[in-house]
Amino acid sequence: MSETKTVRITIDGRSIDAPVGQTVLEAARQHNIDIPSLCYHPGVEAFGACRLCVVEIRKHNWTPDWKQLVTSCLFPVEEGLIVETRSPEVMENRKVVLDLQLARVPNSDVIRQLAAEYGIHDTSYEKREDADDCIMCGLCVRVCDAIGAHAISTLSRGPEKYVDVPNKDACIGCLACALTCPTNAIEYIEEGNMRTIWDKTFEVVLDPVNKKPIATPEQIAHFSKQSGLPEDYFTKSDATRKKETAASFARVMFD
Amino acid sequence: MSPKSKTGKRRDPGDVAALEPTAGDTGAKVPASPSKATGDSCDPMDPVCICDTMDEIFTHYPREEASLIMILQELQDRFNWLPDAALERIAEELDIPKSRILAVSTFYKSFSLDPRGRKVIKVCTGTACHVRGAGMLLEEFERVLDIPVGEGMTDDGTFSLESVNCVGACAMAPAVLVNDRYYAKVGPGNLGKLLTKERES
Ligand code: FES
Ligand code: FES
Repeated sequence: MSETKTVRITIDGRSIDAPVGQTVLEAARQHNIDIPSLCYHPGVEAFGACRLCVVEIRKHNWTPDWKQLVTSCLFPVEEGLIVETRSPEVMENRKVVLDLQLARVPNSDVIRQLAAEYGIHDTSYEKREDADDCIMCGLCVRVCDAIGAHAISTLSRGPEKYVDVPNKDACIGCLACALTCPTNAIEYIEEGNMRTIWDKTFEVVLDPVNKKPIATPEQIAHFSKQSGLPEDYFTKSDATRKKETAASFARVMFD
Repeated sequence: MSPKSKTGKRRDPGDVAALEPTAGDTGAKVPASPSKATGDSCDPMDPVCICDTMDEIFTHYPREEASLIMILQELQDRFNWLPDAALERIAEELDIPKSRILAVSTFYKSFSLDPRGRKVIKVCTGTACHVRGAGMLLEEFERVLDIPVGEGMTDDGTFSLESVNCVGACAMAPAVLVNDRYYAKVGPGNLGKLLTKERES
């Protein structure tokens, strides 16, 4: 395999080789350097909505006192880049972001905990009335699009903006939006073989052996169509599928 | 949407699906005879089929995602709102998910997903008009027309009511815009005259 081109960057004083095309956030995470994030998900294109992942950068050809705050989830690595993930400016900026988010979603445990880590226990802004837990990061919409269902989207704009399901028919009940939501703002109910999300109720196929919910028929049909795999590939849990494979090997070996 | 009317906020845009423009109420060129069916959803006996209009609109723009807003604008111009059937058709022709089209059409205030009257009355509530009583004027319009601002239309399908922030005619405050026509210094005294004139034209 051909060598991928790498660049050398410095994060918090550590020298790191990062492949070209990686973002600062990805490079940092790969080397266990923690940068908080909310709207980033490795499975979909970064969006830079939550502004929590800000870091400070300097470039080797800049004058020494020149620096810039950027969102690390969007900023690509480049040769000689110097990154600070916890400088006073960065911390100050994150505090403001969390303070604002706390005003938007005052009831969210995730945001409250994050804010507390930055020493913010109550927002200094006016709290949103009747607040849900949505921080408008748009991750759910990106995930829904990536899956290919295209059921949900943001509607309206400004303070009125919200996420909803304008294309309810297209929802396959896969729960991807709810499970990736950083603040668990999307509600769903799963009871026995019934699942309800976005006010739409689905029947869920249960694993033939352990009776755990697997997927909705709509979801199975969608994944099967996308992957070209037969539908019954998706009707069992991994554990059951492994057991079946083991059993068939056992038959081959011992019969 | 004006901060006054909160009701429309969580409206499911899918709900308007059944509504179609009716021949009398819209500026659309509605074919007199049943049109050739082009979309799957087209009922050839439907007197208000929009297929022909849509076919024509599509000839004006390249079929690509970048044409979306221009097509929506032309639709809005012709019908005064965006009928759901038309959005379905755009989704199909441009191969854009309908959810994305709705995200765009709810983003811009100039698009409406609800049927609107033949004439849209825009009462300016910008600073200059505000200090000259635009708030009261708006309430008076709501009372006389018996419709809330930002929603629905009068029973005869003639008027819809909206508020806007400064139409650039502050010297004429309070200013009112009916479709493209400006009215200066509108007040409870001459509001009746304005409506009669507009109803007749
Ligand atoms: S993770 Fe970078 S902006 Fe949200
Ligand atoms: S404020 Fe009404 S026209 Fe400017």
